[in-house]
This record gives sequence, C-alpha cells and structure tokens, in this order.
Amino acid sequence: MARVRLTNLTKHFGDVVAVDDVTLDIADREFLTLLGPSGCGKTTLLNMIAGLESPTSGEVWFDDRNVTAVPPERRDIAMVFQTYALYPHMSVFDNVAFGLKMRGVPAEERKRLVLAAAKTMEIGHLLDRKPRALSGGQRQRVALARAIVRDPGVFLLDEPLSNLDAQLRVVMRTELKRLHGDLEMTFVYVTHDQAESLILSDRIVVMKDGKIQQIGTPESIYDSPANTFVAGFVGSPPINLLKGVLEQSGSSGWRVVGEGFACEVATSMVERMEQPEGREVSLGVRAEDIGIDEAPSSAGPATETGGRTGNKDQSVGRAEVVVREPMGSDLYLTVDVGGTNVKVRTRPDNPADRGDVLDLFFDPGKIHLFDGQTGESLIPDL
Amino acid sequence: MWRRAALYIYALVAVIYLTLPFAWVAAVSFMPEREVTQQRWWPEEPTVGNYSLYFDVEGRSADVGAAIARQFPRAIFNSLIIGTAVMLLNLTCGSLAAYALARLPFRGNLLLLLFYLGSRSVPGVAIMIPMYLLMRSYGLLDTHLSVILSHTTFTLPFTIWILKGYFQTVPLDLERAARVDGCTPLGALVRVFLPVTTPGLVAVGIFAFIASWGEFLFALLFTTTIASRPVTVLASDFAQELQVPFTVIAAGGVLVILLPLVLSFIFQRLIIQGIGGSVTG
Repeated sequence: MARVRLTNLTKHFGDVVAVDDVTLDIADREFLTLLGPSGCGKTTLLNMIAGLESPTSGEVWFDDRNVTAVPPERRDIAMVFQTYALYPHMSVFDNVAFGLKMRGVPAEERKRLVLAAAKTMEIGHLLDRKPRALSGGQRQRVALARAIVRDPGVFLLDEPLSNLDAQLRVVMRTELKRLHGDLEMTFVYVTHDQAESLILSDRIVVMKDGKIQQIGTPESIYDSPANTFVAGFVGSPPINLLKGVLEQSGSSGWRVVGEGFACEVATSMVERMEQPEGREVSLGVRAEDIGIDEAPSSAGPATETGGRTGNKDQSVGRAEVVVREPMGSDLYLTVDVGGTNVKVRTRPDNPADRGDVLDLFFDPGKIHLFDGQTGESLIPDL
Repeated sequence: MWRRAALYIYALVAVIYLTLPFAWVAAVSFMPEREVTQQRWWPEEPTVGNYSLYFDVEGRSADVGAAIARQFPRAIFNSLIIGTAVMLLNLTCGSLAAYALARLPFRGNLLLLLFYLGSRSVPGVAIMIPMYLLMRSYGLLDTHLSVILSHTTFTLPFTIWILKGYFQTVPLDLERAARVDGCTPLGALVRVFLPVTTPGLVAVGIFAFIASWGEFLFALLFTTTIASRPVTVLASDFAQELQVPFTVIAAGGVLVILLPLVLSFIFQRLIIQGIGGSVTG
C-alpha cells in the first residue's frame, strides 16, 4: 500500500527532454494509467518511479518517504515488463521465488507464497518449466505472478499486454482488472492503447512530448478532452476535427462555419469567450455523435455547402459517402465534408454506400470546440 | 536441388581440406617407422608402439626420442597451467570490458573497441623483440607468467569483441527485473547476467584456452627449460635429434590434439550458441 507523489519530475537524455516537469499525485490503491504515443516519456516516467532511471530534477515520494535517491532494490515495488523479462536460466518456480529469495524469505514461506501466487495466476502446472517452453500468454502470467508474489506497495506495468495477440490481450485485460480488485496495491500502468486505458483505469494521465496533457477519469478524458491531441488520441475511431470560424447566427445564437458545414453551438460555450466573432476554431465531434439520414437520397452532386434547407432544420451540411466499413454491430461511413474525411457511426442496416449524399446532424450536446491555433479546449471546465 | 548438391559438395571439400592433415598425423602415429618413408596414407601393419614410448619411458629409454618423451607429462602440465590462466584472465578482464562496452554509454567507447581490435592486427613477430626485452627486464623469462601474459595480449581483443556482441543481445529488462526483484547492480550481474550469458563465456573461454594451447612462437621465445616449456615447444625439440622420429612425433601430436578436441566436443553446443546465438528473455 502506498501513495505515490511526483513533484516537478524532469528527465533529460542529453539534449532531449524525455519528461518535462511532471507533478502527479497517485492515490493509494488507485489504478492510474500513463497513456501516450511512443516517445512521449511515459516509460521514462515509470522507470523513475521504479528507480531504474534517476531524475534530472524533481522528487519521488512513496507515502512520507522521499525515495528519489533510493535504488530500485530498496523501493517496495514490483514491475512487469513489456518483454516479460523472465530469467531464462531459471524454472518458473525460481522466477517467481527470486524476489522473495533476494529479500531473505525462508524457503518454506517462499514455497507457500509462490504456490499461492501461482494459483492466483493459474500457472500451478507450469512451475517446473523453463520460460522458453511457455507460450506468450503463459509468460505474461508468470511475469504477473513474479510481481504479485512479493505483495509490493506499488505495482508498475510497462505495456504488459502489447506483445500478446488481440484475443489474449482481451483476456489478460480482464485478468488485470480482477487482479487490481483483489489486491490492495497501487497500480501504475503504461500503455499506448487508449482502449486499455479507458477500460482499466481509475484515472488516466495523457502525455505527449514529456508533458502531461490531461489528468482525469476515463469518462472525463473521453467526454471533455482538454485539447485536440487528447481528443484525437482517446477514442476509436479518432474524433473528427473540422476547421471553422465562429460567427453570430440570427439574433442570439452562434455557429461554426467551415468548408462544407455550418453547425449551431450552444450559447453557453461561447458566452465567456473574449471576442468570439470570427475566431478560428476546430470543431470536434465523435463518430457516434453524428446522425445521418436513414434513407439517403440517390447519388448526385452536393448542391449546397454549409447551408440549411428549409425542412432539414438541424442539418449541418450534406456530404458524400467515400467509404463504407461494416463492423458487425456497427457500420462506419467515411463522408467527405468540404475535403475533410469525417467518420460516422450508424446502424449496420443503413443502406448508404459509396457515392450517396447524406445530410449530417451533430448532437449539439456532444460537440467540442478547440482553439484553432493552440488546440486547447474552449469549453469552460465544469 | 542442384544448388543443394553443390552446397554439400562444397562442405565436403572444406571438411576434407581441414581434416586431412590431422587424419594423416593420426594415421602416421600408428605406423611403424619404415612405412612413413614409403609415404603411406594408411598403416599396413598398425602398431601402438609410438604411444607406448610416452607411457613407458623407463622401459624404452634407449629409443630415439625417449629423452624428450620423458618430459612430455611435465610439458603438458605447463600447457595446462598456461592455458587455464589465459582462459581465466580472458574471462575476467574480457567480460568486464565487454560489459562496459555493451552497456555503458561512455565517450569514445567505439574508439576504444577499435583500438583493441587494431592491436590484434599487429603481427606477433613485430612485437616479439620489445616483449622479450620487457620480460627480461622484469625477470619473467622462463616463467609461466611470461607466456600467460603474451598469450593474453592476443586473445583478449577477440574475447572482448565476441562478448560485447553477445552481451548486447541480453535484454536490458532482465537486469532491470533483477534490480526490482531486490538485487544490487553487482547482484544482478552475478545472479542473472552471468548465468544467462554462460554460452558466450564458455565459448570465448574455450577459444582462449585452445589458442594458448596451440601457440608456439611466444612460448618458444620466452621459455628455455622444462620448468615452463609448454608442449608445443617441447614437440619441436624432437627435430633436434640426429634422427627425426616422425611416428613418435605424430603420436605426440595426437596426444596434444586430444584435449582441445575433447573440450570442443563437450562444449560444442554452447560454443555454437555463444558465437552465433543470442539471449532471449
């Protein structure tokens, strides 16, 4: 059990700033995910929590103990590596028992603990084997058993599922969630897979270029992304971003107008902005928040751009279907909005196909506005 | 199909080319003296008499070469001492140097490695005289140590080169896992890194031993008496007798080849793994 605090943590490799002034408070028993593309510094950050890299500046605290200068062997941590890093010259039993042995746990006790961990991870029948005789999923289980057997305060996982095939990944993902529920440990989990982070985490830290972009629950990251990077990185398919300009519409309303679309926005989004008129923005809308005609009109050139037709009051524009991708439970259509590809999720029985022209409807409560230059969210924090 | 056949023929030719001299030495060692002068490929009347000279020196003290054959056990002992010491020096110095070159990103490490390798390309004869003078001024002539040190100078660069490449195949995460599991840096090296790299260490160790065992030039130069003479140098003494006993020399040659041969066979799998293989987590 441990609370982990990072204060102004920075790591330079030569001229490269891998981690830039990260301050983070990880609660005891929390499942916290560091999410970001490769090279964003998330693994370096994890290594600094483990003590495998020493920070250029800043501090690492476990509860009330400053462990910044404490070597990994004397921090109360366990770690699972992307490559599993099982000791190839030892049997599975010895792999799991190694950490206990290093800490002077007596042989009898060691055996009891290893068997218990093996039972948890369902690897009891593999204890005599060498790692090379195991499948990828089995190695993963051994690596997890090796980590949990010591009952560490902090459990660090560095992309543990990325070497598994897609099916096994889903199984082990569930297993990890169960494990976190059963064990009273703080989990710090590194991944580049946004789906994993959404499913597993209590909180997600989205990182890019060594900097934290946003910290929040999976729901808040997904529903109110702090900038276009977070919006585009979390969620599958990625959020649709359309460039446009804010302008007054009618007497009191506002709308975003861009190439091939015009979309009403709630006044509440705009009212606290300075000089909203003419401001360049990116409008973000997720595939599932776009509605389309259930019965598309037959092929033909889009006659109006950014216009509203009299009877289709809410339509933000008409767009031609470019790609149709059935996914079983859903159907994804890629439509062309003024030269930008926009993904739309719809029911699988929708007959729209390549060449059809559709009216698009954006769910007004689910659209996001970002500054056209900085990409920062323009929607006030709630 | 033809390509495969060509490959086999090529391999066969290479094997014959490499083993024929040894096979002939072995054949000669079982011939009576007379058959050698007839330039036979195969002993017509095989005899073990040439070998018995080495094992029953007292009984045949009058035979040609008996005086030298008597010193044979002592020379083999010298060779063992020298070879083992060269092997241990290579393993300790070589593994430490290779570990640093493989793992620590220090300034000029490539340059240092090239310097090691470059020193290997200097022919032995070129440094013999200065080395002789060095050994003499330190009073090391006719000691095991002189031969050990000289052999280490030319085996160590190869050892470092091979081990560096091998060490780099060890995933860094293995040592990190060991650290997290509670090992100090040295503990991780001893308990995880070295056991994992055993094939590479065995391979270079055997190579260093065999290179030392078969070396002649430095050993000839630095040793003068049976107190330090290794077996390669002693064998050449046969040639100083009035009559050159080819069959006895051949038997001695076979006895000398035996040890490296046995070592190679025992560690065959590890050597191939160590030279061509890699470590996987």
